[in-house]
Amino acid sequence: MERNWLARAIFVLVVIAAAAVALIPTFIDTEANPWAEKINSGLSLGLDLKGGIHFVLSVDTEKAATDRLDRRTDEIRIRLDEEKIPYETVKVLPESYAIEVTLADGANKDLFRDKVIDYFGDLKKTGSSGNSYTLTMRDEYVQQLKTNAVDQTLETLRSRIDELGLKEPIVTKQGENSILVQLPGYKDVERARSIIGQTAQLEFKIVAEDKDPLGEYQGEVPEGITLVTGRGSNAEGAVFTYKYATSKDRTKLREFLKDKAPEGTEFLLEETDLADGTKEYMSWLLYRQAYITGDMLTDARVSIDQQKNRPYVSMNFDKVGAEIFADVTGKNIKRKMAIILDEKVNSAPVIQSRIEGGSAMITLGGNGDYNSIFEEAKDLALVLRAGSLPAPVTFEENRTVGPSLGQDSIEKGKVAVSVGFAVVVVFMFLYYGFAGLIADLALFLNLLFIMGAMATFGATLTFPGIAGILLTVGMAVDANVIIFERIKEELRTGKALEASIESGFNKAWSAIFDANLTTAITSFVLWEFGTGAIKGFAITLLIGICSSMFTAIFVARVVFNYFLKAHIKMFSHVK
Amino acid sequence: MKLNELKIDFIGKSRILFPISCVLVAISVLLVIFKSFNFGIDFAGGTEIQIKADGVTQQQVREVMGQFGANDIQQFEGKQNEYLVRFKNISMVDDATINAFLDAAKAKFSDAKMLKTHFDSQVGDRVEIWFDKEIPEADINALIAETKLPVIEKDAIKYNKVGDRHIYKLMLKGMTNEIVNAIDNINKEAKADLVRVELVGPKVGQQLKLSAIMAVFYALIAILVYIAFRFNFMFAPGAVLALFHDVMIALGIWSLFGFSFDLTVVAALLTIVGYSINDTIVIFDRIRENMKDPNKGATLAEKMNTSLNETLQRTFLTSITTLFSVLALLIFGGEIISGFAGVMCIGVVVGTYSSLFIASPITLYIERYMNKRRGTAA
Repeated sequence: MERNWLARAIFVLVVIAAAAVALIPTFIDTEANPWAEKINSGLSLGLDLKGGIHFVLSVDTEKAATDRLDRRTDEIRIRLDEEKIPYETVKVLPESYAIEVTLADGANKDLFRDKVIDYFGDLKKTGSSGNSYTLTMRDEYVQQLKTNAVDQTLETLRSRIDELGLKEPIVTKQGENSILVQLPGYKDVERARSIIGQTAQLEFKIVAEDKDPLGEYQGEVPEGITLVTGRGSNAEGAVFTYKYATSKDRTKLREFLKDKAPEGTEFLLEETDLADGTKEYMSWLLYRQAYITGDMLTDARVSIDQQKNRPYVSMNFDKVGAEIFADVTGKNIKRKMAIILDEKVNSAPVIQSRIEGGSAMITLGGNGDYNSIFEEAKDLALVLRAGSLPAPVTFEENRTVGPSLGQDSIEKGKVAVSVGFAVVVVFMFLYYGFAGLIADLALFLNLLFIMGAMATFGATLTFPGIAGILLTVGMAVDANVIIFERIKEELRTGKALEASIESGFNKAWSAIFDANLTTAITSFVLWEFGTGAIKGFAITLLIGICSSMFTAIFVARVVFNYFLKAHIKMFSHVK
Repeated sequence: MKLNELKIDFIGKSRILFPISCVLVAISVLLVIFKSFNFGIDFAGGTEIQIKADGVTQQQVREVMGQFGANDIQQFEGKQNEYLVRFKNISMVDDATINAFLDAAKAKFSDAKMLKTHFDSQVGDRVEIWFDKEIPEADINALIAETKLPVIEKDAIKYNKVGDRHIYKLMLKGMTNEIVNAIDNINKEAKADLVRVELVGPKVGQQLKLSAIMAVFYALIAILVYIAFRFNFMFAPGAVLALFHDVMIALGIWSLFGFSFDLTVVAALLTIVGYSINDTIVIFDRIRENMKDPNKGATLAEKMNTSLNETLQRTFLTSITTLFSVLALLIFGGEIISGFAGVMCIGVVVGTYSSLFIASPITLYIERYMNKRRGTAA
């Protein structure tokens, strides 16, 4: 018993020391004392205490799926051409994840089945009428596409947010297609929204200046659209003239260009901000094949054009990208290469020479002042570095807590905890006298252990978490009360103090264990159910339960035994 | 006061108190069903902003908020220029405006078929219209101007084509920024600052409601199973019905007074479940122990009374200390945590009561009923 006590006492002291050490980084300035960082990074505060932005985004997985279907139609057309199967239409049926292919005649039925349908493993024939076939994307493939879209969005958002250089941002999946983003200490909601929400798809395509569908166009040009002559050349020195269209009405222009692009090319628009605040759109005829895409970028940053004093974004490609870029530029000298961001032509510079080393630039339009262009360039560089989103996102939930409110909550929490703690401490002393002080000591250690454990495990302290700590203070005395009452009962039966303490602790054990375990069960349920702040409450409650059982059963007993040995009378007022 | 010298006939008293409790629970159930709650934005969806507005009068703030359709404005105690404002909507645009716009669009673009329209009420930041053919953007812009649809200034129309569907997304202005602008523009000294913004889509709220109910349900089931396993199946219904009683009374009071029902209230309800079961278990533990001891009473009812009295001091003390902490939280914790602290206060009191007067008597009734069954069967 004697040696056992010593071992227990030492263990308690070690735990106290460990908790105290774990709290050092929380209470001293880690900037001035970098060694403290080695222990842990301090008690981390939740968004509601620190201030910051909380977003829940949903990923438009439908769009990811229909985009894939759209691309499949292109591939099916190519396949049909390769196999020389004449067809009338290939179109997407977006509601049913299906593609409808209408062949010109029934002659190639078998060839179509063997060479086209079987070629695309993710499609299966689900219906046909006459020469029309409905090819539906397999369910498991659609499912996988959607899951991938969410995972990829998650990755991209993570790297974009990392670029913001915030401390401890959180980006995690929530539910099936939602993503939770928390930016502690960040206040600029609009900027955060634009950085997170931008799709940022970057492509490089060659301008098809050797084709001139608009020049060959004989029909009437609608009002508001102007055809302008453009000039281009190729590496052999041949000069082309061709027509391109400009308009202030984007839709009208699109309508006009519809179905006019020859096979293998497409029209995309470039947008120019005019001085009067309106916009002008001009058409570019591009080869459909995208040579370089955003995922080949290794770096993008803001540079400044010294002559024009204008910021722009310069980019570097990875090895594969640089090789392709050199190859493509080498083969297309004197032609134009379009840089396309989110389906809009950003610019289409003439390739002067084969470009080795893999770098390119994006200029920013607009009539904004230097600063606004600089900010725009900075954010564009950021999203380019992080990569594009596979599907658009929508904002479902947004909670922003200003830093002053967080500070206010911390102050209020401190006051509430102090007052609650003080009242309970005084009450226990008044009620139990000396033994009450032991309970108070246990209570104080409880606070220390909870905070120490939270700092060690990196748990987040939220405002409801503070409530959890205070609640634990109220409930932690429970274990002590159960034991004390038990000891008093034992004393009343006429047992000696030592024996009473011994059996008091032993008999109280099952009640304490069962009672705490059920509270732990509800804490687990809360943890499962809760979001952010509520999870913080559940975690403090759980840690509090463990800690209060330890202090009441283990620590208090060590202390009791110490006073027993010192022959200090406890429970002297018990009749 | 010497609680340990009292000999209270809890079981006897429960004959009067039990029906009263049943009536109170019934009233609470009716209140919850028919009056429901004053759901906070966590559950109802909408926008809640805490805004600091300097250099303007309260009347001016109220006017601006009124224009944006605020349905509740509170001034912060002790902070002169801070307001808590709630909006049902999260968009500046209500359904009526959207419907009017869509009707106008249908009339104006009658040669195109409107395949699908969607006002994304989850987010409220866009209206989506699907047409079977392309519509000139200038025409849409004209219609927007005509119907005064509040779209963003730059790139308001997003166009997208999927198959033969032409999808137009009209991006709407964000409400919070507009509010800040509106206040800033009242006069030169005016300065608005958003202290806190919460924006929750109604879909999220619906899901939360369901998962909150399920959370309380799971907690009750888990405790039922645990008690049946650790004690005796006979004990479980009493414990769980006592918990149900506590949760229902707390809900009833919350509904009756129309206090705001948010996430922290659910956390408090679950904590009550965990707390109140504590009391009950300590008592059950004692009953279990005393059942083996013939000195503690001849019948189960007597043994229960002895156990309840023996543990009374502990029950009282723990409730008092917990109540102290929760009251400190209620008084000093501020508005954000007041829902939690309020429900906890009710829960501590009601939970203590139910541990004494509900849980054990129910167990006794079950015991008697089962004995009778056994008697008739034999």
